[in-house]
Parts: sequence; structure tokens; C-alpha cells
Amino acid sequence: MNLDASPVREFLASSMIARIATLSPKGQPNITPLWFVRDQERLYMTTRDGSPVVRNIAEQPEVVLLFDNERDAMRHQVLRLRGRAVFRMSRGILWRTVLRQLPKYRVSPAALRNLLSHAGKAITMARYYGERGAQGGVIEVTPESAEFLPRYRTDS
Amino acid sequence: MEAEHADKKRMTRAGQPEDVRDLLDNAPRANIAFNNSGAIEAVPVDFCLHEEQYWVGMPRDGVGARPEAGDRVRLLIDDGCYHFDLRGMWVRGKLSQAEIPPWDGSPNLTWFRVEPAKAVVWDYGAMREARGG
Repeated sequence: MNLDASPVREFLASSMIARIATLSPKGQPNITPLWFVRDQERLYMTTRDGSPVVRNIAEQPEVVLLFDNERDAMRHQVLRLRGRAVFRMSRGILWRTVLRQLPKYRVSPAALRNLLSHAGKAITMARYYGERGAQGGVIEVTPESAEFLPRYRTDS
Repeated sequence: MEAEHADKKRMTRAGQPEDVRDLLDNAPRANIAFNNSGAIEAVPVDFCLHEEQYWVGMPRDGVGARPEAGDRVRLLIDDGCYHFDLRGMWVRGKLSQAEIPPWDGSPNLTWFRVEPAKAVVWDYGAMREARGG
């Protein structure tokens, strides 16, 4: 199954978090949740230069991505993609990704409700990111295969 | 130098497992990553916190490669999709086979305990200033 298959496209369109699994040069597994957007045949995730994911894909670009979906009809499934990842730091790709993230994560009604309900923490948030200071970039993933797996939940 | 850094206040999103106890008691989703003979692999798992131990359950087949007892894994439990809702925990550890499932774990799954070597908790909604940040 590829990224263009209708069930995969539909699942990704209403999925919010990509959990990207990578292997460190020493063989340690890592899995990190990140915001993502899709553009044509690729997926893009913003992160900071020097993060463990960025260090790992520099040595081992093979990644596995897991996606959940909270729509009732899809919540018992997980989409697993395999692919290759590269970290890109060009301003063009970073800004394109940030702009594509806006309607999904920053200015949708649910996102605005989330921001407004924590408006008092705006300065805290600005200070947090200011202190980290590392340069931002984009993880670009080219998926090579896709499959659906069952999601088991104790509470379901 | 380290003492100076430890005294400095910084903003942090870090916490302790007890700070996300409600999430661990009712995890909406959990996943593990593991090293499958030199290749990265990740699978969704069921998760239980039982007697202060982390348990993961996975189907006996149908998910492809699965980790085995003794394997090093990274367990991820996370929640939220908008900035201030994002929170979770990852645990780095080793799997040990469970003879019987935890009390509320499905008997249809194979269960393992995760022996934690390190756990990291984050909660963007609880960002605050702290020493050492």
C-alpha cells in the first residue's frame, strides 16, 4: 500500500501526531511524537537541530512512523509507514512547513481554544523556546510502504 | 560550573511520572520502538500501570516483527495534539516476559514488563520556571 492509496490518504488527513521511530548509531531505539504535515508524496515535521531524532537519521535514515486517528471509525487502527528521512535546514522549506502547520495546529477553532485557554502562559512559552535557542529545521520523510495495524486499548 | 548551571532558573516542561499519573492510569495510546536485528521497528501496544510497574501487551501475530524478552525498547505514552495539551512519558528499558497478564490486561495479548532504566515526562500545559530547567 502506498501513500496515495485512498485509505492511507484519508487516515493521514485526519491524524494529528506522527510518532517517529529511529535507531541511534549505537543501536538504541527512539520514538518521538511530532506535529506533521503532508505535501505531495512526503511528510514534514519541524524540530530543532541536534535533537536525538536529527542525530539518529543523520546516521540511519530508515524510520518507522505510527499514526493514530481519533475518528470513531478509525480509532481502532494504527497506520504504520516505513520510509527514509532527511533533516533539512533551508529557510524556504522551514517556512513552508510552518505555514502549512498553521491551519492544522495554530489557527483551527480547537487550536485557538487551546491557546486562549492558556493565554496566561504566552510569556512562559516564549521564554521556553527563547532559552532553547537551537536552530529549527524540518525532517522530510519519503514513505516507502504503508500498512494498517490494530490498536488495542485496555479501556475499549 | 555544574553547580552554577543547577542554580540557574530556566523554563521547563519536564515533570515526574506522578505528574501524569492520570494519563498512565488510562493511556489512550502507547507504542514501543525496538531494534529488530539492526533495523528500527515500532508497534502499537496496550499499556497497563499495575503495582507501579509498566506492562505492555501485544497480539501474538498480525503486527509483523515483535520484540522479545530481554530486548531493549523505548516505550512512548503520549496525549494531546495542540500545544498546551501535549504531554507524555517515554521509558527506556528492557522487556521481561510476564507469566500471567496484569489483572486488567487482555488474556488475548502477550504481556511483558518494562524494566525501566530511564523515564522522561513532559507536559507543555504545566510549563514553569525551575532550577536547572
